[in-house]
Amino acid sequence: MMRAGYIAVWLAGILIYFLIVARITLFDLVVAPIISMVAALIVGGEVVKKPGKALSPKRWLYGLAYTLYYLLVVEPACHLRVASMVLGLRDYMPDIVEVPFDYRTDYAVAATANSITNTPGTIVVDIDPEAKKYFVHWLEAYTRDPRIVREKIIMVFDKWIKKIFED
Amino acid sequence: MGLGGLVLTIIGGAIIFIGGLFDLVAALGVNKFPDFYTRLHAVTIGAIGGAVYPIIGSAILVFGVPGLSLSARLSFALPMLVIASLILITAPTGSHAVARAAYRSGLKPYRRIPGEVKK
Repeated sequence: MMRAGYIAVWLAGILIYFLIVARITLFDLVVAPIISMVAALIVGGEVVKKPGKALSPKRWLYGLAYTLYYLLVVEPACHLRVASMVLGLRDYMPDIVEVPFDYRTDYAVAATANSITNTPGTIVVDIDPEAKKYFVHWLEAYTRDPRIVREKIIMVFDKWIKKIFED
Repeated sequence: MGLGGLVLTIIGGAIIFIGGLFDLVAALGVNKFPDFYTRLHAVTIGAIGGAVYPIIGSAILVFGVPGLSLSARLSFALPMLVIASLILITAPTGSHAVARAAYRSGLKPYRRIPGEVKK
């Protein structure tokens, strides 16, 4: 099982190498596996705990679909909302609110935190892993009801993140 | 330039232009917002709308540039997409680090008083 974790990181390293250099020469065919192997030996055991998940094509497809949805729908909407606040067209009520979550894996927690922070209007300022709560600085903190806050801030990512990292 | 190339040039150019506008809004926001936390939101507009989208736009634009081979286009576009992905993953890490440092050091967020006149 552990060996498959190293292989997953090794394959990802080779893929990223070829995407960055965008060419296939004999030099690259020799160097890419070696460099990726070094990276895999350093981080492979830690980064991937369940290689079956990391190598699942279904999860990668969900990841791709989520990225497209995130970049084409979620991000533009949030950018326009905060831009209108900057330009004085919309009011804002900034505060730090507690947002409960129910993820079991660190990957899902980190991916959701990244998604929240990457959208203007919400930034994760701290996390309580025991109480399963994010502390989020929110520009539209008109309510503190955890159910409504959770609905407004993380439910847009929730079903995708669970399909990619948990189910 | 064929019609497809023209469409890709327009789409890529439009995304880069919009990215420039987002950078301008981010700069205004950093000046206008009242405290550290709110300014971080403006910085996010600059990092995502003003960096990730224009990089993706330039990757699209290169497919509309006439006279380039497919390998030349790919050798430009693929690294651009990797860079955009890496910014998407790493930018929030930096934001989390500074926001958490501010929060744990006791920096209180600016709160609007109901009925307060907007700055």
